[in-house]
Amino acid sequence: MNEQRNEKRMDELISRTINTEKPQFDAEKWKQKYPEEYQVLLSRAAKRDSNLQPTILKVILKSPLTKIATAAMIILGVSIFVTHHDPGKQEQPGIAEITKSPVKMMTTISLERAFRQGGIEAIENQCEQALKLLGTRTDGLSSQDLLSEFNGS
Amino acid sequence: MSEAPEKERSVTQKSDTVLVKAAVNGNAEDFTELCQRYYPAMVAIAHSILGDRHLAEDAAQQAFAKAAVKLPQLKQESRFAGWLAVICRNIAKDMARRTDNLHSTDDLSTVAAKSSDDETTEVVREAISKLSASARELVFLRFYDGMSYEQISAVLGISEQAINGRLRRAKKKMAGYLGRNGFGEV
Repeated sequence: MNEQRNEKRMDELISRTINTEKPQFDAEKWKQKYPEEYQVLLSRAAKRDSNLQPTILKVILKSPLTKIATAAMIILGVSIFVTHHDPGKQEQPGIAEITKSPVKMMTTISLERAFRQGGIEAIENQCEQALKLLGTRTDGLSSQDLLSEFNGS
Repeated sequence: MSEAPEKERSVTQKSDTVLVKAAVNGNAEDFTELCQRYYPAMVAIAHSILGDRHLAEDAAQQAFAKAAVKLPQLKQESRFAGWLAVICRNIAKDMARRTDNLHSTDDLSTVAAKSSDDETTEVVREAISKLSASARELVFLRFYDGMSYEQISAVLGISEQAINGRLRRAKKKMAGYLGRNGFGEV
Protein backbone atom coordinates (compact mmCIF):
# COMPACT_ATOMS: atom_id res chain seq x y z
CA MET A 1 0.00 0.00 0.00
CA ASN A 2 2.80 2.32 1.04
CA GLU A 3 4.79 1.32 -2.03
CA GLN A 4 1.83 2.08 -4.27
CA ARG A 5 1.44 5.49 -2.67
CA ASN A 6 5.15 6.18 -3.17
CA GLU A 7 4.95 5.16 -6.79
CA LYS A 8 1.97 7.38 -7.37
CA ARG A 9 3.80 10.27 -5.75
CA MET A 10 6.81 9.59 -7.97
CA ASP A 11 4.59 9.55 -11.06
CA GLU A 12 3.21 12.94 -10.08
CA LEU A 13 6.69 14.36 -9.59
CA ILE A 14 7.96 13.07 -12.93
CA SER A 15 4.83 14.27 -14.71
CA ARG A 16 5.23 17.72 -13.19
CA THR A 17 8.86 17.80 -14.23
CA ILE A 18 8.83 16.56 -17.79
CA ASN A 19 5.24 16.65 -18.93
CA THR A 20 5.15 19.35 -21.53
CA GLU A 21 2.75 20.55 -24.17
CA LYS A 22 2.00 17.75 -26.64
CA PRO A 23 4.09 18.22 -29.80
CA GLN A 24 2.00 18.63 -32.92
CA PHE A 25 3.26 17.59 -36.32
CA ASP A 26 2.83 20.35 -38.90
CA ALA A 27 2.73 18.55 -42.25
CA GLU A 28 2.87 21.71 -44.35
CA LYS A 29 5.95 23.04 -42.59
CA TRP A 30 7.58 19.64 -42.87
CA LYS A 31 6.96 19.53 -46.64
CA GLN A 32 8.51 22.98 -46.98
CA LYS A 33 11.47 22.03 -44.82
CA TYR A 34 12.16 18.75 -46.61
CA PRO A 35 10.99 19.27 -50.24
CA GLU A 36 13.38 16.72 -51.74
CA GLU A 37 12.34 13.94 -49.40
CA TYR A 38 8.68 14.80 -49.98
CA GLN A 39 9.23 14.60 -53.74
CA VAL A 40 10.87 11.18 -53.33
CA LEU A 41 7.76 10.06 -51.47
CA LEU A 42 5.45 11.39 -54.20
CA SER A 43 7.56 9.97 -57.00
CA ARG A 44 6.76 6.47 -55.78
CA ALA A 45 3.09 7.10 -56.55
CA ALA A 46 3.97 7.84 -60.18
CA LYS A 47 6.07 4.68 -60.39
CA ARG A 48 3.24 2.65 -58.92
CA ASP A 49 0.77 4.00 -61.49
CA SER A 50 3.05 2.94 -64.33
CA ASN A 51 3.33 -0.54 -62.84
CA LEU A 52 -0.37 -0.99 -62.13
CA GLN A 53 -0.99 -3.54 -64.88
CA PRO A 54 0.96 -6.60 -63.81
CA THR A 55 2.53 -8.78 -66.47
CA ILE A 56 1.34 -12.37 -66.89
CA LEU A 57 4.71 -13.52 -65.56
CA LYS A 58 4.23 -11.47 -62.36
CA VAL A 59 0.79 -13.00 -61.83
CA ILE A 60 2.15 -16.49 -62.38
CA LEU A 61 5.07 -16.00 -60.04
CA LYS A 62 2.91 -14.41 -57.34
CA SER A 63 1.72 -17.61 -55.72
CA PRO A 64 2.74 -21.28 -55.70
CA LEU A 65 -0.76 -22.26 -56.79
CA THR A 66 -0.55 -20.30 -60.05
CA LYS A 67 2.93 -21.70 -60.62
CA ILE A 68 1.63 -25.29 -60.31
CA ALA A 69 -1.39 -24.55 -62.47
CA THR A 70 0.80 -23.03 -65.15
CA ALA A 71 3.19 -26.00 -65.05
CA ALA A 72 0.23 -28.39 -65.37
CA MET A 73 -1.10 -26.43 -68.36
CA ILE A 74 2.29 -26.56 -70.06
CA ILE A 75 2.60 -30.32 -69.49
CA LEU A 76 -0.94 -30.87 -70.80
CA GLY A 77 -0.27 -28.74 -73.86
CA VAL A 78 2.95 -30.58 -74.65
CA SER A 79 1.21 -33.96 -74.20
CA ILE A 80 -1.58 -32.99 -76.60
CA PHE A 81 0.93 -31.71 -79.13
CA VAL A 82 2.97 -34.90 -78.98
CA THR A 83 -0.15 -37.10 -79.25
CA HIS A 84 -1.47 -35.30 -82.34
CA HIS A 85 1.90 -34.94 -83.99
CA ASP A 86 3.18 -38.48 -83.58
CA PRO A 87 6.21 -38.78 -85.87
CA GLY A 88 5.38 -42.51 -86.44
CA LYS A 89 2.00 -41.55 -87.82
CA GLN A 90 3.46 -38.76 -89.90
CA GLU A 91 5.69 -41.23 -91.66
CA GLN A 92 2.66 -43.30 -92.75
CA PRO A 93 1.63 -42.60 -96.32
CA GLY A 94 -1.59 -40.64 -96.67
CA ILE A 95 -4.61 -41.79 -98.61
CA ALA A 96 -3.79 -39.41 -101.44
CA GLU A 97 -0.39 -41.05 -101.77
CA ILE A 98 -1.90 -44.52 -101.69
CA THR A 99 -4.57 -43.72 -104.25
CA LYS A 100 -1.95 -42.78 -106.77
CA SER A 101 -0.94 -46.41 -107.16
CA PRO A 102 -3.46 -49.31 -107.20
CA VAL A 103 -0.54 -51.64 -106.54
CA LYS A 104 0.36 -49.91 -103.31
CA MET A 105 -3.31 -49.82 -102.35
CA MET A 106 -3.55 -53.57 -102.58
CA THR A 107 -0.41 -54.52 -100.69
CA THR A 108 -0.81 -56.42 -97.42
CA ILE A 109 0.60 -53.56 -95.40
CA SER A 110 -1.76 -51.04 -97.00
CA LEU A 111 -4.80 -53.25 -96.54
CA GLU A 112 -3.86 -54.02 -92.97
CA ARG A 113 -3.48 -50.31 -92.26
CA ALA A 114 -6.89 -49.67 -93.84
CA PHE A 115 -8.39 -52.41 -91.68
CA ARG A 116 -6.93 -50.85 -88.53
CA GLN A 117 -8.30 -47.48 -89.44
CA GLY A 118 -11.79 -48.40 -90.55
CA GLY A 119 -12.30 -52.15 -90.40
CA ILE A 120 -13.60 -54.24 -93.28
CA GLU A 121 -15.43 -51.26 -94.78
CA ALA A 122 -12.17 -49.41 -95.18
CA ILE A 123 -10.68 -52.39 -97.03
CA GLU A 124 -13.70 -52.50 -99.35
CA ASN A 125 -13.42 -48.78 -100.02
CA GLN A 126 -9.74 -49.10 -100.73
CA CYS A 127 -10.36 -51.96 -103.14
CA GLU A 128 -13.09 -49.99 -104.92
CA GLN A 129 -10.79 -47.02 -105.28
CA ALA A 130 -8.07 -49.24 -106.66
CA LEU A 131 -10.47 -50.67 -109.21
CA LYS A 132 -11.68 -47.19 -110.17
CA LEU A 133 -8.11 -46.19 -110.80
CA LEU A 134 -7.64 -49.18 -113.00
CA GLY A 135 -10.77 -48.12 -114.92
CA THR A 136 -13.34 -50.23 -116.79
CA ARG A 137 -12.13 -53.31 -118.56
CA THR A 138 -13.67 -55.30 -121.42
CA ASP A 139 -15.30 -58.61 -120.64
CA GLY A 140 -12.72 -60.43 -122.68
CA LEU A 141 -9.87 -59.36 -120.55
CA SER A 142 -8.11 -62.37 -119.12
CA SER A 143 -7.21 -62.52 -115.47
CA GLN A 144 -3.56 -62.71 -116.51
CA ASP A 145 -3.86 -59.42 -118.37
CA LEU A 146 -5.70 -57.93 -115.45
CA LEU A 147 -3.04 -59.02 -112.99
CA SER A 148 -0.23 -57.88 -115.24
CA GLU A 149 -1.85 -54.44 -115.46
CA PHE A 150 -2.62 -54.55 -111.79
CA ASN A 151 0.97 -55.23 -110.97
CA GLY A 152 2.03 -52.38 -113.21
CA SER A 153 4.08 -54.48 -115.55
CA MET B 1 -1.85 7.52 -18.31
CA SER B 2 -5.04 7.23 -20.31
CA GLU B 3 -5.32 4.20 -22.56
CA ALA B 4 -8.47 5.46 -24.23
CA PRO B 5 -6.82 7.10 -27.25
CA GLU B 6 -5.06 3.86 -28.19
CA LYS B 7 -8.27 1.85 -27.92
CA GLU B 8 -10.05 4.46 -29.98
CA ARG B 9 -7.29 4.32 -32.56
CA SER B 10 -7.55 0.58 -32.96
CA VAL B 11 -11.20 0.93 -33.86
CA THR B 12 -11.25 4.03 -36.03
CA GLN B 13 -7.76 4.44 -37.42
CA LYS B 14 -5.81 2.51 -39.98
CA SER B 15 -3.10 0.19 -38.73
CA ASP B 16 0.57 1.06 -39.18
CA THR B 17 0.89 -1.75 -41.72
CA VAL B 18 -1.85 -0.31 -43.92
CA LEU B 19 -0.44 3.20 -43.66
CA VAL B 20 3.12 2.10 -44.35
CA LYS B 21 2.07 0.08 -47.40
CA ALA B 22 0.22 3.09 -48.77
CA ALA B 23 3.14 5.40 -47.97
CA VAL B 24 5.55 3.06 -49.75
CA ASN B 25 3.32 3.48 -52.81
CA GLY B 26 3.63 7.23 -52.55
CA ASN B 27 0.52 8.08 -50.57
CA ALA B 28 1.57 11.31 -48.86
CA GLU B 29 -1.60 11.57 -46.78
CA ASP B 30 -1.02 8.23 -45.14
CA PHE B 31 2.61 9.07 -44.52
CA THR B 32 1.49 12.30 -42.85
CA GLU B 33 -0.85 10.26 -40.64
CA LEU B 34 2.10 8.13 -39.56
CA CYS B 35 4.05 11.28 -38.79
CA GLN B 36 1.22 12.67 -36.71
CA ARG B 37 0.85 9.37 -34.90
CA TYR B 38 4.49 9.06 -33.91
CA TYR B 39 5.64 12.66 -33.72
CA PRO B 40 5.21 12.99 -29.93
CA ALA B 41 7.04 9.71 -29.35
CA MET B 42 9.92 10.71 -31.61
CA VAL B 43 10.18 14.12 -29.96
CA ALA B 44 10.24 12.39 -26.56
CA ILE B 45 13.03 10.05 -27.66
CA ALA B 46 15.07 12.89 -29.13
CA HIS B 47 14.40 15.07 -26.10
CA SER B 48 15.70 12.37 -23.79
CA ILE B 49 18.99 12.49 -25.73
CA LEU B 50 19.27 16.17 -26.60
CA GLY B 51 17.69 17.73 -23.54
CA ASP B 52 16.15 20.43 -25.67
CA ARG B 53 12.60 20.53 -26.94
CA HIS B 54 13.29 22.51 -30.12
CA LEU B 55 16.26 20.41 -31.11
CA ALA B 56 14.19 17.34 -30.36
CA GLU B 57 11.46 18.51 -32.73
CA ASP B 58 14.09 19.14 -35.43
CA ALA B 59 15.47 15.63 -34.93
CA ALA B 60 11.99 14.09 -35.12
CA GLN B 61 11.21 15.95 -38.36
CA GLN B 62 14.54 14.90 -39.81
CA ALA B 63 13.77 11.32 -38.86
CA PHE B 64 10.50 11.51 -40.83
CA ALA B 65 12.36 12.94 -43.82
CA LYS B 66 14.81 10.06 -43.74
CA ALA B 67 11.98 7.58 -43.26
CA ALA B 68 10.14 9.01 -46.30
CA VAL B 69 13.14 8.14 -48.46
CA LYS B 70 14.09 4.84 -46.85
CA LEU B 71 10.57 3.49 -46.35
CA PRO B 72 10.77 0.91 -49.18
CA GLN B 73 13.70 -0.69 -47.32
CA LEU B 74 11.46 -1.50 -44.34
CA LYS B 75 10.76 -5.22 -44.63
CA GLN B 76 8.12 -5.58 -41.92
CA GLU B 77 5.56 -2.80 -42.06
CA SER B 78 4.31 -3.63 -38.57
CA ARG B 79 7.74 -2.72 -37.19
CA PHE B 80 7.52 0.83 -38.51
CA ALA B 81 7.48 2.52 -35.08
CA GLY B 82 10.57 0.68 -33.86
CA TRP B 83 12.37 1.32 -37.13
CA LEU B 84 11.51 5.01 -36.97
CA ALA B 85 12.67 5.18 -33.35
CA VAL B 86 16.09 3.82 -34.36
CA ILE B 87 16.38 6.47 -37.08
CA CYS B 88 15.31 9.21 -34.68
CA ARG B 89 17.70 8.03 -31.95
CA ASN B 90 20.64 8.02 -34.38
CA ILE B 91 19.79 11.47 -35.69
CA ALA B 92 19.47 12.85 -32.16
CA LYS B 93 22.81 11.32 -31.15
CA ASP B 94 24.45 12.81 -34.26
CA MET B 95 22.94 16.19 -33.46
CA ALA B 96 24.11 15.89 -29.86
CA ARG B 97 27.63 15.09 -31.01
CA ARG B 98 27.62 17.99 -33.45
CA THR B 99 26.25 20.48 -30.97
CA ASP B 100 28.17 18.93 -28.09
CA ASN B 101 24.85 18.78 -26.37
CA LEU B 102 24.71 15.19 -25.19
CA HIS B 103 22.49 14.84 -22.20
CA SER B 104 24.04 15.94 -18.96
CA THR B 105 22.67 17.13 -15.67
CA ASP B 106 22.86 20.73 -16.77
CA ASP B 107 21.05 20.06 -20.02
CA LEU B 108 18.05 18.92 -18.11
CA SER B 109 17.44 22.47 -17.04
CA THR B 110 15.56 22.84 -20.31
CA VAL B 111 13.49 19.74 -19.81
CA ALA B 112 10.72 21.36 -17.86
CA ALA B 113 10.78 24.95 -18.86
CA LYS B 114 7.07 25.14 -18.34
CA SER B 115 6.99 23.23 -15.10
CA SER B 116 6.98 24.88 -11.75
CA ASP B 117 10.58 25.49 -10.98
CA ASP B 118 10.59 24.59 -7.33
CA GLU B 119 13.35 22.75 -5.58
CA THR B 120 11.69 19.34 -5.88
CA THR B 121 11.35 19.69 -9.62
CA GLU B 122 15.00 20.58 -9.89
CA VAL B 123 16.05 17.47 -7.96
CA VAL B 124 13.69 15.29 -10.00
CA ARG B 125 15.36 16.63 -13.16
CA GLU B 126 18.69 15.66 -11.73
CA ALA B 127 17.37 12.24 -10.80
CA ILE B 128 16.17 11.72 -14.39
CA SER B 129 19.54 12.75 -15.72
CA LYS B 130 21.23 10.12 -13.55
CA LEU B 131 19.29 7.34 -15.26
CA SER B 132 20.77 5.29 -18.08
CA ALA B 133 19.97 6.47 -21.60
CA SER B 134 17.45 3.67 -22.18
CA ALA B 135 15.72 4.21 -18.82
CA ARG B 136 15.59 7.96 -19.42
CA GLU B 137 14.10 7.38 -22.87
CA LEU B 138 11.45 5.15 -21.35
CA VAL B 139 10.58 7.72 -18.69
CA PHE B 140 10.28 10.42 -21.34
CA LEU B 141 8.05 8.26 -23.52
CA ARG B 142 5.80 7.41 -20.60
CA PHE B 143 5.49 10.87 -19.11
CA TYR B 144 6.16 13.22 -22.02
CA ASP B 145 2.95 12.52 -23.85
CA GLY B 146 1.31 10.03 -21.52
CA MET B 147 1.86 7.19 -23.92
CA SER B 148 0.27 3.84 -23.06
CA TYR B 149 2.39 0.75 -22.45
CA GLU B 150 1.03 -0.62 -25.72
CA GLN B 151 2.24 2.41 -27.67
CA ILE B 152 5.63 2.35 -25.95
CA SER B 153 5.88 -1.35 -26.70
CA ALA B 154 5.35 -0.66 -30.40
CA VAL B 155 8.03 2.02 -30.42
CA LEU B 156 10.67 0.22 -28.37
CA GLY B 157 9.90 -3.30 -29.53
CA ILE B 158 9.76 -4.73 -26.00
CA SER B 159 6.91 -6.33 -24.08
CA GLU B 160 4.57 -4.38 -21.83
CA GLN B 161 5.79 -6.45 -18.88
CA ALA B 162 9.36 -5.44 -19.65
CA ILE B 163 8.29 -1.80 -19.88
CA ASN B 164 6.55 -2.05 -16.53
CA GLY B 165 9.61 -3.63 -14.92
CA ARG B 166 12.04 -1.12 -16.36
CA LEU B 167 9.84 1.81 -15.37
CA ARG B 168 9.56 0.51 -11.81
CA ARG B 169 13.32 0.14 -11.55
CA ALA B 170 13.86 3.62 -12.99
CA LYS B 171 11.42 5.15 -10.52
CA LYS B 172 13.00 3.25 -7.65
CA LYS B 173 16.39 4.59 -8.65
CA MET B 174 15.01 8.09 -8.83
CA ALA B 175 13.34 7.69 -5.44
CA GLY B 176 16.69 6.62 -4.01
CA TYR B 177 18.35 9.70 -5.47
CA LEU B 178 15.65 11.95 -4.05
CA GLY B 179 16.00 10.24 -0.69
CA ARG B 180 19.75 10.81 -0.62
CA ASN B 181 19.17 14.47 -1.43
CA GLY B 182 17.02 15.11 1.58
CA PHE B 183 13.56 14.48 0.20
CA GLY B 184 12.84 11.65 2.57
CA GLU B 185 10.43 8.98 1.44
CA VAL B 186 9.00 9.64 -2.00
